[in-house]
Amino acid sequence: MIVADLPAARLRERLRAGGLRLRTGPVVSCIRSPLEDVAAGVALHYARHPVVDEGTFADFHVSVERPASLRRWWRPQVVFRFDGDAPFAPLAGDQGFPMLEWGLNWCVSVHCHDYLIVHAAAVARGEHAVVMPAPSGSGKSTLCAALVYGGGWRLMSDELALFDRSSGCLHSLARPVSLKNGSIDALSRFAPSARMGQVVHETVKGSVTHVQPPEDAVSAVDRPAHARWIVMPQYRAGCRAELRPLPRAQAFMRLVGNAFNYHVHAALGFELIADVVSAAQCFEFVYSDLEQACRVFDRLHDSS
Amino acid sequence: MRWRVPSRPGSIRWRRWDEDVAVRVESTGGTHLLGPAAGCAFTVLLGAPSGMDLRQLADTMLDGAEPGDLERLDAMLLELHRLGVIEQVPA
Repeated sequence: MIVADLPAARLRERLRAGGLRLRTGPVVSCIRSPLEDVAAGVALHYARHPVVDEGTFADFHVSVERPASLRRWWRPQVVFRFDGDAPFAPLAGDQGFPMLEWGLNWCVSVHCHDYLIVHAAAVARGEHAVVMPAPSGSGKSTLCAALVYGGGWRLMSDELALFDRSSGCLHSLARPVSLKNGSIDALSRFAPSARMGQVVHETVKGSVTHVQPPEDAVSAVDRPAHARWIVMPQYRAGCRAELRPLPRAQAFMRLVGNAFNYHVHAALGFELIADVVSAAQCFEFVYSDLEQACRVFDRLHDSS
Repeated sequence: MRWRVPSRPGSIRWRRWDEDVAVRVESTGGTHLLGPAAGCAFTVLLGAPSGMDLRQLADTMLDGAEPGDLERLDAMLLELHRLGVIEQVPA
């Protein structure tokens, strides 16, 4: 069963009561929320994701709800809970779905130590993936969205690249792509068919929204890929899209610097990232125009 | 004073790409990128399990030391030592 198979009322009932057990690649999350914007977000963005039985083990038990304080009467807030605890301060009341997404990212990044996790977008064609490590604000999610909604690449993740500890291959999450501020309009113009959720304003990141993961990404979520290219993206207004070779040692250090749990994996993490870098071509990439960017990635793929 | 790369199994992990060397020091958990000169010194010391002193290392690395070279190499060795990448050979 997938989320879209659940009638709207049944979906909301599950979210309010025992929780909706949602599979996103290797992760099962049990999500509870009484909030309508969270239910609407789940219905849109996870429409094609599998719902698993209530008895299935869930890696994470999370909820997004109103905090039990008097503030809720005159200034509603939302709080994310993990196993009943609230690891983050509450946010304004209309930020329920973004908070769920940020919370789920946090769950994966600090708990899924079966993987070496890098703060990176990852897209694939067939068995070959591009991994794009970068800090927030570099334009990696925008580029990732353009590549998957208009560039013929398959979404693996826009935030978390999961490297298998033993094989080094990449696993997919195929969760919604997060966009903010100017990138929302940019993607709307570039890929009008991309299905976006409600835009939420005045978050800590500015205006944010999420884009529904494409169907091919969800159906191929269990298909791993190998990092064929490591690309460090950087949006730079007005510049031509250009790939520049990056020395492998520098790419290695950038991957280490963007890894959430490199320290957990110790020597294995070093060897894993070194193997990934040794087997990949490494580049820096500057871009401003999304069509140009997609053409450069086409050529990159075709040249290998 | 003689220097060497720690020889205990697993104490140092390293990879070389072109002239750059990345090392991981088990005792600190630190990962460091060595530039060409430090990478060269590290590689030379790897091949000398009993260690080398400053002069021996300079003779191996440099085709004739110029004024200031020994001081720079000495400072680099002290920095590598501080990072745990190399150690002093016990007397």
